[in-house]
Parts: sequence; C-alpha cells; structure tokens
Amino acid sequence: MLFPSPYRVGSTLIQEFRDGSLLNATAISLRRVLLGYSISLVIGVPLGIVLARVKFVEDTLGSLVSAFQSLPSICWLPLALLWFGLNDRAILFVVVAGSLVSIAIAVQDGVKNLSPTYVRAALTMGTPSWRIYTHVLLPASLPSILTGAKLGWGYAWRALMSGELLFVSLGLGQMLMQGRELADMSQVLSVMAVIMGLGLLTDRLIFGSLERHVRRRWGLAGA
Amino acid sequence: MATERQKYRHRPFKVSRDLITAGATSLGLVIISIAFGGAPDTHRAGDHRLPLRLAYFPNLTHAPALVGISRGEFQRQASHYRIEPKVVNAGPEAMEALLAGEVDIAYVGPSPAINTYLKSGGKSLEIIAGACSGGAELMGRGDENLHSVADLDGKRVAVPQLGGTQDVSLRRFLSLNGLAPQDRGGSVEIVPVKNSDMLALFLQKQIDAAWVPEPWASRLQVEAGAKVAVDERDLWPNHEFTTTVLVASTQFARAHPDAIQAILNAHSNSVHWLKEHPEEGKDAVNAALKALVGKGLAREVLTEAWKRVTFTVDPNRASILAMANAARQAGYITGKFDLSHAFLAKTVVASDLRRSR
Repeated sequence: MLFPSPYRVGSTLIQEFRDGSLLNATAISLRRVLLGYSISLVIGVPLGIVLARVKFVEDTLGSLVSAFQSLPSICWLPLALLWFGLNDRAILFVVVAGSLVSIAIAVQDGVKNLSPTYVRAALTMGTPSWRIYTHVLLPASLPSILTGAKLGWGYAWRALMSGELLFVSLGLGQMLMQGRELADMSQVLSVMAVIMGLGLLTDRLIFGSLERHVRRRWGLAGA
Repeated sequence: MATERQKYRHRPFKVSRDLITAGATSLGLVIISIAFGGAPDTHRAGDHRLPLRLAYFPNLTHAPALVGISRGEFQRQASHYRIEPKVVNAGPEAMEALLAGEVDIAYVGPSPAINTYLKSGGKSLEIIAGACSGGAELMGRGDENLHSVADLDGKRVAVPQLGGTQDVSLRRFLSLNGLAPQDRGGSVEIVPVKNSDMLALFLQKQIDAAWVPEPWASRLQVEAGAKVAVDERDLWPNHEFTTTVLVASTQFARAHPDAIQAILNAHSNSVHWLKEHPEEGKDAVNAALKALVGKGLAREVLTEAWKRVTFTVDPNRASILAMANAARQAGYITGKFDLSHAFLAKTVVASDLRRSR
C-alpha cells in the first residue's frame, strides 16, 4: 500500500485515462494555469520594464513587489476564498499572485542589466523615446524576459497545485488529494507522473525551443 | 535611403523550427484545456429560477444530503429554485463559502457551525435542523487493551484535526476522567492526523488510539485491526450527540423562508426514507459516494458504520451546547459566548416537520 509497483501505477493511469477522469482533471488544471499565466504575462512584463526604467515607480512599487515575491502565493488562499468565494476566480487569483511578481522581477533585472550603450546609441540615432521600449529594450532583453516567463510558469504551476490540494473543486491537485483520501497511493503517483510529464513537455518543447530560437537570433548558439 | 531605413526597421523575421515546435505545443495545450473538462460554469441557459446552493460532504454522516440530491427530493420540494449542489471536503471550507455568499444552506458538523456563528457575532447563520447523530468512536490498536477513556493515560491519541469535533470531545472526556492532554501539562499526547493517514499509522504502530468519525472508525476496524474502545454514544445522555446539522445563511433565510421550509421538508423526507429503507439507503449512499469521489465504501465497512449512526431531524440542542462549552474550556472559543440565536425558532421546525411527514 505504501509503495505501489510501477505496474499498478501504470494500470491506474490507463484506467483513469479510459474513464476520462484524468483528461478532465488535466484540462481543468491547464485551463486555470494558462489563464492565470496569461494574465501574469500581460501585466508582469510591462510592469517589469516600467520598474526598471522609471525611478519613481521603482521607489514606490519596488519594495512592495519584492515583499510580495517572498510571500508564497498560497498564503493568499484563505483571503481569496473569502473575497471571491469557492470558485475558479479564487484559484486564479492565487495563480496570478504567484507568477506575476516573479515575472515582473525577472524582467526588471533583465532590463536593468542591459548595456546603456544600446539606449544611448538608439537615442543618438534619433529614435523617438517610445520606440526605445518597443524596438530596443524589448528585443534586447528578450532572453531575460524568457527566463522570467519560464520562472513565472513554474510559480504558476506550484501555486495552482497547492491551491488545488487545499481547495476542493476539480483539477489534478484534487485528484491527487482524492487518492490520499482513499489511501490509494497508485492514484497519487499517477497524478504526480502526469504533472511531471506536463512539466517536461512545457520545459522542453515550449520554453526549450523558444530559448534555442532566441539564442540563435542573438548569435549565442554553437559557442 | 528609404529601403535602407526599411531594412533596419523591420529586420526579417525568420520562423525557425524551434518557434514552430513551441507554438504548436502551446496550441496543443490550449486545445486540450478547452476541449475537455466540460464548461467551467454549469449554469443552464434559460433557467431563470433563483439558485439555491446546497453544500455537503461526500461522507456517510451527510447521507440525507447524498440521497436528497440523488433521489431529486430537494429539487422536488423546492421547485421554484434551482438546486445547485456544492460538494466540499471539510467544515471550515463549507463555512468560508457560506460567509462568502457562495453557499446558502450547508450540511456541516456542529463545531464549525458554532465557531462561525460566534466569529460573526451571531449574524451569519442559524442551525435549522439536525441531520445525523452518533458515528464517532475511540478506536484502540488491536494489541492495546483499551476499554475506556481512563485507559488513555500515557498514550498517543490521534484526532482528525486540532480544534475539530473529535478533538474537543476527546479533551472533554479526558478532563471528565481526571486526565489532561500534554499541551495542558497532562499525560495524553494528542496528535492531529488526517483520517486517511491513520490507517498507515495504526499499521506502523505509530499511534495507540484514535478518536475518529465514521466511516473511518469502521475502516480502521476492518482494515487495520483496530478495536472499538469507546463508542462516543455511550458517553452521552440518551446515547445521542449531534454529528451533522443543517445550517442556513441568515441572510438567505430572512429573504427566502419558503426555500428554507422546502429544504426542511426534503431533508425530513430523506431522513425518514433512510430510516425506513436501510438497505436501499446503503446502496444509494454508496452510489453517491462512488460518483463523487470515485470509490464507494467496502460493504463490510458500510454495514458496520451504518449501525453506529442515526439519521435524525433533531439538532439535539443540549449536545451542541455541551460541545460548545467543551470547546470554550479547551480554549478554542474565545470572546463573547452567546448562542441564543443560533437555532431557528424551535416551534417552527417542530410544527413544520410534523406537517411534512
């Protein structure tokens, strides 16, 4: 019971796949994480750039953002449940709270570490100041934005899983917890395997490919 | 010159194979997330009836809710409302949802109900009926010789949750037997352990006893060879103590007394059906559990557990007040202690329940 054999985990996986429960749980978790992550990206990347470029914003919001980063986002769950109720919005809030800040901070660091020569050169050549953002800062800091995005994805997953473990309403985390409730460790392991598989898939196929692409564009490949 | 500028403004964007892989995989994930898992909101278009959100646990002691939903009893009685079942796993969670306005009526243990009632200054909820009585035992490990609470001296006892109903009961009966938990300088070690983890701890001899609700007590007996040391019913007057009550959010109850009445009727009908048809009742409960958590209870466990619970509509005020007092003595309830408005006026329940029979 404590250490189910790989064969039992495999047959549990097949059975869960056949009755559709696994696919449903995966889809629901994916939907939550994709939505939360998109929101984090859309807000986090511009926030990071502004934090790096505008002194006033860094002075005011900067320490707040750092403070939030040290707070594991699951700490928000009790409040989120009261604010939004027992529904998807609460878990979305936790996911966004987890990934937005880490994305913003990674982007901020990336932009800050850019050589000022790029910006000065662009200004010297008469680039309008708003275009500095879209045509110099953004492309030049793409590698660090990508790092931030990858980090944010990890945080989003973690936040989602811890939320689903504590919070009862569908998803992979709940399925894992159900395994625990039923003292069915093969179900727990099968869900863990699916989570790892998804992690590997996104890491290799999405972020890995994007990083390779960016490295090649920046002439960093093949060194 | 213009072409030169063009060249620098739009660097030719090459689509690499890596970019295609990343895009295609992301698209795949998005498609999976949309294609499966059903619609996130189950609200049916065209149904303009007011929703009535009913929370309960996938648990034996919530059997009146399980069969009330599966047999359509709630919907039949409250036909002017759209019954929305909300399955939750623990009392605090159900109460959070009730406070957030996500749940109107909930089946819940008396401890979380009383706690929430007191924390909100008596404004959030009222207890409208009882649902289940009995169904908690002190289980001793097979090789330990435990026959009473007094035998717990120097033992390690598991409870599902610190501050939960069983923990409060344990502390109450320890002090009645002249014992005290270690955190109060006594000799009995109380450890919080999730019900599902107790099985393994019993087998590994990590705990000597456990104060647990059904069906876990019966599972410990059947699967881990534990023995019933004390049936909590024997410690209470008339062998009755409340394990599940039906609570309604005060706001909802004020606005929709007709809905409360309908739910009470349905609840009462379900309780009577369960009493009159125990065999069909067990099947219905097990089918509901299987649908909700994927697995039903083993027949042996269910039969054993069924003997130890009583379904009832009586909230058994005296036992709830005794539990609340015990929780206060244990230090779990602090501040103002006024339960005068916690129960729906008694006459209403009694007379209306009689009518519904």
